[in-house]
Amino acid sequence: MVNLPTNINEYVEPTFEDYFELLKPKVMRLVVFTAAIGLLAAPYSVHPVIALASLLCVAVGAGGAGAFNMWWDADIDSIMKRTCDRPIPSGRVTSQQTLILAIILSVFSIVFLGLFANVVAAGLLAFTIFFYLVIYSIWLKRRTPQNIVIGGAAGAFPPMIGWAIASGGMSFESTLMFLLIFIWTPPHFWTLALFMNQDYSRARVPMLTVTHGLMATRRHIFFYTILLSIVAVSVGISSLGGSIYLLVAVPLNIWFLAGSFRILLRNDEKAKADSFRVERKVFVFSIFYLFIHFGLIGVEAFLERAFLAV
Amino acid sequence: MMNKQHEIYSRRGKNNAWLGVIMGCLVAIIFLVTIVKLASGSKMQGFDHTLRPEMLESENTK
Repeated sequence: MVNLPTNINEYVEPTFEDYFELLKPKVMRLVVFTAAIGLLAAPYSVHPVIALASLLCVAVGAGGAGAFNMWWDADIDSIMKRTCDRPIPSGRVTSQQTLILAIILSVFSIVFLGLFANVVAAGLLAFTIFFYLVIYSIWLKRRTPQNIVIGGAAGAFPPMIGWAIASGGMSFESTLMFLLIFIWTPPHFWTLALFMNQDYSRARVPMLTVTHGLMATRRHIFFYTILLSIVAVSVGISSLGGSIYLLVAVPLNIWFLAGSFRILLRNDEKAKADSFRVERKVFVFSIFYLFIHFGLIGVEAFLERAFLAV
Repeated sequence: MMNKQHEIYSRRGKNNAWLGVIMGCLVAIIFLVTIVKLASGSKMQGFDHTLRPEMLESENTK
C-alpha cells in the first residue's frame, strides 16, 4: 500500500523511468558485463537461452540491490550534490515503493536464477544482495573508512556468479576475477572521493578523505594500485589470460600506476589549482581499465573456444 | 484539478503497459527455458529434474 498524500494535487505518480532509475542502470551494466565474462570464461558450455535468462536474473538482482541501497541511503542522498536528483530525494518515488520493488526484484531474481541455472549461482546472488545491503550499506558505509574496501566485495561477486552459472561451483579463476574488481574498487572510489570530498563530509560518510585526509588517501590509492597491478598480471598468467591479455594489460597497468603516482606526488593546493585535473583523468581511466581487462578475458575465452572448435 | 487527475491516469496507464510487456517477456523466458531444459534433459529424472547417477558414468566430456 502506497502512502498517498492527503492532497491528491501533491501526489505525482512515478513513471516507469523513475522506477528504472532506482535500479542503478550504470552499475547494472557493469554487473551484467562482468557476469557475462565470468560465464564465458568458464570452461563449460551453457545453452544460449539458459545463459541469457540467467544473466537477466543477475541484472534484475543487481537492480534489486541498487533499489535497496537507494531506499536505505535516501537521507544522505538528499544531502549529497551527486545523488540529490535520485528518485527518492527528489520526491518522485516514495521509500515504501522503493523497498517493495527491491524485495520483489531480489526474491524473483534469486528464485529464478536457482531454477534457470543452479543453486550455487542463486546462493551467490542472494549473498551479493545481502552483502550490498546489510554489510556495506547498513553496517560499514557510515561507520568506517574501510567501507569501500570491504563493501567493494559486493560489486566483485558478479563474475563469480557468471562462472557458477556455467560450472555450478567456484574456482581459482573465478576468485581471481573477484579479486580484480575487489582490489580495483578502493582506488577507483577514493580517486572520486578526492574531488567529491565536500559531498561526503557534508553527508558525514566516513570516507578515507574525510577521516584521514587527502594525503593519506593519495598514499592508499597508490598502494592499492600496486596490489591491483599484481592481481591484473596474475590473471594474465592464469588460464583466464594469454598473450593478447598481457599485451594490452601490461601497458594499461603501467599507465594506472603512473597516474596514481602522479596523484601521490600532488598536494591539495596543486589539485585545487587545476580543479583536480589529474584525479579526474585517473578516475575516468579507471572505469575503462576494468572494462578493458574483463573485455580481454572475454576475448581470450572466445579465441580459446574458437581454436578448440577448429 | 482535472488535468492533474488525467496526468496520473495516463502515467499509470503507461506503467501498466510496461508491466504488461515485462510480464509477457517473463512468460516467454520461462517458456523458452522450459523447452531448452526438456530438450536437453535426457540425463535428468522426470520428477525433480535432478541428474540420474546411472547416466553420469558414461558421460566423458564436460
